[in-house]
Amino acid sequence: MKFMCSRDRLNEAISIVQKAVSTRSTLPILDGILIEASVSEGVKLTGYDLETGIEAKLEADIKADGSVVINSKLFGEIVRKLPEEFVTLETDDRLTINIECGSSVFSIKGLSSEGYPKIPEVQDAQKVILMQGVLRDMIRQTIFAVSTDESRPTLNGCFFICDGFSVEMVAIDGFRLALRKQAIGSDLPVMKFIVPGKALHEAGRILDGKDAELVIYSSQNHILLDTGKVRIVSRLIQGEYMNYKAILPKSGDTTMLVSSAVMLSAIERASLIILSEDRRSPVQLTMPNDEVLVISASTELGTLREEIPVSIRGERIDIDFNPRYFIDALRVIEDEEITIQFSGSNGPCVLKPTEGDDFAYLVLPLRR
Amino acid sequence: MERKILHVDQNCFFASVEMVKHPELRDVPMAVGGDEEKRHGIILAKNRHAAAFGVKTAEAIWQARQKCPGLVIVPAHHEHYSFYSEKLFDLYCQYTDRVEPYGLDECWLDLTGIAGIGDPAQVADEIRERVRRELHLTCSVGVSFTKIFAKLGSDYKKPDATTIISRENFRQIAWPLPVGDLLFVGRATQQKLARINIRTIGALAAMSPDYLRDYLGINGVKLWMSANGTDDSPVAHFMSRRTIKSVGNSTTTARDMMNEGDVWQTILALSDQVAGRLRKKSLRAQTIQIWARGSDLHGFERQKHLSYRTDRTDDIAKTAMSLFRENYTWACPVRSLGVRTARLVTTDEERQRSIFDADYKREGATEIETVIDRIRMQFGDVAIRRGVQLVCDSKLIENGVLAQNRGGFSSVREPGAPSELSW
Repeated sequence: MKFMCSRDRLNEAISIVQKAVSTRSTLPILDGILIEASVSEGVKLTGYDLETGIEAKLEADIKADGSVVINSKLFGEIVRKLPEEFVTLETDDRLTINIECGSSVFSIKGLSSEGYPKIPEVQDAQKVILMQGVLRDMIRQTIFAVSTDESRPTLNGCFFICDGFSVEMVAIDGFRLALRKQAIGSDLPVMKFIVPGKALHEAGRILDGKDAELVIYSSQNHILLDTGKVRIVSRLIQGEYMNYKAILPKSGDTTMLVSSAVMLSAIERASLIILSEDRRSPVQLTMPNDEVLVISASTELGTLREEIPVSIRGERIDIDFNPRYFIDALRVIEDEEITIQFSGSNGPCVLKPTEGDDFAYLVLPLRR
Repeated sequence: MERKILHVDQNCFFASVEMVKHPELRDVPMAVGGDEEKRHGIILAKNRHAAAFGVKTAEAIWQARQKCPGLVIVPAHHEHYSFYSEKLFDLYCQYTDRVEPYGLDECWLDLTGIAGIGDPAQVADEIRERVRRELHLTCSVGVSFTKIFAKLGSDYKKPDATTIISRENFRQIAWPLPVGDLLFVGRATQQKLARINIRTIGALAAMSPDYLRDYLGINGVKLWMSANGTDDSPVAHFMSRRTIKSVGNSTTTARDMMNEGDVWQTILALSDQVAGRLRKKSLRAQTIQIWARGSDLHGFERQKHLSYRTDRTDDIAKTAMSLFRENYTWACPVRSLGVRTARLVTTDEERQRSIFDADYKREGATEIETVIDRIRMQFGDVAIRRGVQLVCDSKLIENGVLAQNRGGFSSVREPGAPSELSW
């Protein structure tokens, strides 16, 4: 194998596929990046931890076909520190990889690509085309509510639903729910599946180009996200996702209109005196009249009391929340004004748009 | 700003508490010791009469008796020591919120920046006076500008004394002392230091820190800073001590456990006590761990995460038993067993409502367990027991419980017992 390429492009491709390279694997070959070069197909880098696989294409001038596996960490650090922009990579018949750049030449031992596991083919797939920026935002707006509690595996991922016209993503960690919905078009395939949180997290970091397209293919067991340059393959979480629609209350006893930015900064101030590891101390919301929401917190460190302007319809309530759950939701909401719907002092609370159903963030309170 | 740090050390704490409970022991040589018959027979603490005979903490009781023939041995009552310890910490917290416990009977107090506190030595004398008057115990207090020197000060003069180690006098007081008196200089470090001829704190302070780094690693530099009074480790906030990571108990039975019935009785007794402690501390556990060791001394440890959190004997015992059954092959009898609970949350934290609330059918302790807790609090651990524990072999579990405090007379059979095992 022999090819020439740009150091910066190579560095970029390495950092993309590294996201899927396992850090503590029992198989040494999985600590590596698979490099494949063929004059007809170009150069492709692959990282795969047996759950998520990422392939990145690299523009290169290919002189000889071939493939090799090289330790990911070492390769990444070498390329980052190369002196000049133009790099030549070449392997010999004993799988030694020569990396030549300017006047420096590294010779590194490689592993045979024969032992590298194959990323599953996503066969008999249905597909949806989305803008990369749209999917990236939807991931950012839901992923924080993905559960890490392994006793309920289906909640360790985002539920992805396509009803033919819109795409919906849902995450639930037991104490809250995040839902984002986006109208895409018409005549889309109807499908639903659960994508592991980790794969989505990595995808969110790789996707860019607001206007560039992305194709999502899904089969029974796998999902493939294809941007053209990068392909991300992940296994899907098997099992029935929770009936999330049953959790979302249809209506509430209290409806409050509020500026999301004003509410966010007030709760962030309240959380300053609530230590992050202290899950006991709540932020308290009270409604002295229909125009004011009082946000208060009290811990060993001190107290905060703050009034913000709101517009309340229905029963006035007094309720305790973990501020973290509100902050996570309010930070990703882009609407200036939102509706918050309460169902009594012990019931769930839902943050929604003032019109439509593009998002819903459900938060459960602390018992009194 | 110069820090004002106190280290308070209770003088022979266990023995002092016993003497408060039994004033007649004040005038005779006495020591708190383990149970000799169960081969737990070491000295845990002794009073000054016993110390005068040369009785040492951690030596075997029979050795102590040889030195001091009339020595009175009192069994340990850990629940009393915890009770007094809590009273002491309540008292310290009246002075500052930066109170860092170091075991049951020692702690640091940081008085820096506390308004109206005045001379820290006067506070030290006041604390000693109050501990003596309010709790009938004595303590020694070290006053200094670092934690290490404060600790050194409380060890300097005993009993019931205040020692001030200041920037002006630390060279005279601390430096001539053996280096082993310095906190974190254990036996191994002391030997290593002796090899390079460092025997006093002053000799350590005079070394080059670079050399100590090469010789002892980063700890060498830390010790050098300690000896020079330049370590700046802070006194932790009192609340930070309150996170309990696990609650467990284990036992080596007086005879080996031969079958599942024996194991079940032991697991039940252990779980009963663990669950009681969880309830007392308002904690619930999501992870149940067991460890077992066979008579061949080989052991294993296994754990299981529950989908709910519990503080109930039932849940803990049944999970522990199923872990045991799944993992023990009975190649030999069982010698020791332990049951531990982890992933704890306080019942306060449980206030967070969950989507799965409906799944958490077990909302903590059952009514019967709450009643059992109250009876035990008043009449002792054996006042009320499960039926199975009444007929239990005393070589396994004495009187069906593992704790020391006995007393009481009644028992109860719990309804709803599983059919395969007797309750």
